[in-house]
Amino acid sequence: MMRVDWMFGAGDIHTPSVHPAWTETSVCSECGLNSRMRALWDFLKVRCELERYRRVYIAEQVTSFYRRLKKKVPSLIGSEYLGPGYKSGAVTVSLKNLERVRHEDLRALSFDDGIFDLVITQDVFEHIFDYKKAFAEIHRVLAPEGILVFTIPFFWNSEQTVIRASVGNDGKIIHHLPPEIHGNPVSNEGSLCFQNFGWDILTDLRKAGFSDAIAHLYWGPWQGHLGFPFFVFSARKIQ
Amino acid sequence: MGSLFPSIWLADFRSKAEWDRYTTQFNAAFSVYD
Repeated sequence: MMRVDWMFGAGDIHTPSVHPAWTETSVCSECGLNSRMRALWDFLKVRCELERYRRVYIAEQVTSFYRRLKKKVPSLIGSEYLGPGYKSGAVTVSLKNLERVRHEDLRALSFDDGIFDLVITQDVFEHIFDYKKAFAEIHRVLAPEGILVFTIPFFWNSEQTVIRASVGNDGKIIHHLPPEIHGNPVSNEGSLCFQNFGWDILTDLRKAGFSDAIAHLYWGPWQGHLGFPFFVFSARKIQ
Repeated sequence: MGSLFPSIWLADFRSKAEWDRYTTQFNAAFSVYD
């Protein structure tokens, strides 16, 4: 059974009617995951053969998805971004939910080179100023043949990524478009969305060293994946 | 119906050009129902 709600639902200039945010709804009553999370889970199991991987890192830790994945991959390492005052690798207690949390900045990971076979992120890159640095850093910590799998809010009708906000030399945020704040599991203030990704994200991944970068289209109303089109992304490191 | 469509993975794309070709074919296929 799936529960569909109107959380994050919105209209836009192209679609005057209000519609649900399909990736964020259709929550399964059994696993508790929404459409996006279930699609990612399906990709990991079906397309990646998740059971093959032991050295896995996911850029989240206080989520139901992390706990579910941890059962499958006991050696899984997870983390959250707690803010600029923390050093990557530091473990602290989240003020929001009082869980012990590892802090990692994807632009400056604490891990050695080539130690992971699989890195996973869900709707994280849009919140990172200088996301290309994060791509290069993830490429560094992946082993040869390692793979990055991720989701993002994706603007499939746009070739180019639109920068919504940036950080000036003085460290202050410059808004190029009205601020867009998304939910954050470790902060009640939410997270600023720095960019709306277009297809050039695949080029950016290749420039960061990934040999292959792919947008995988999914759809399945009978599996509770409503709306169209939505994607899970992957990028593989060859050397 | 889910058993008739067991996979949710429809296609892979490496560029917007590939996507545009796909959607052109997709729209052509569905236009017969218009």
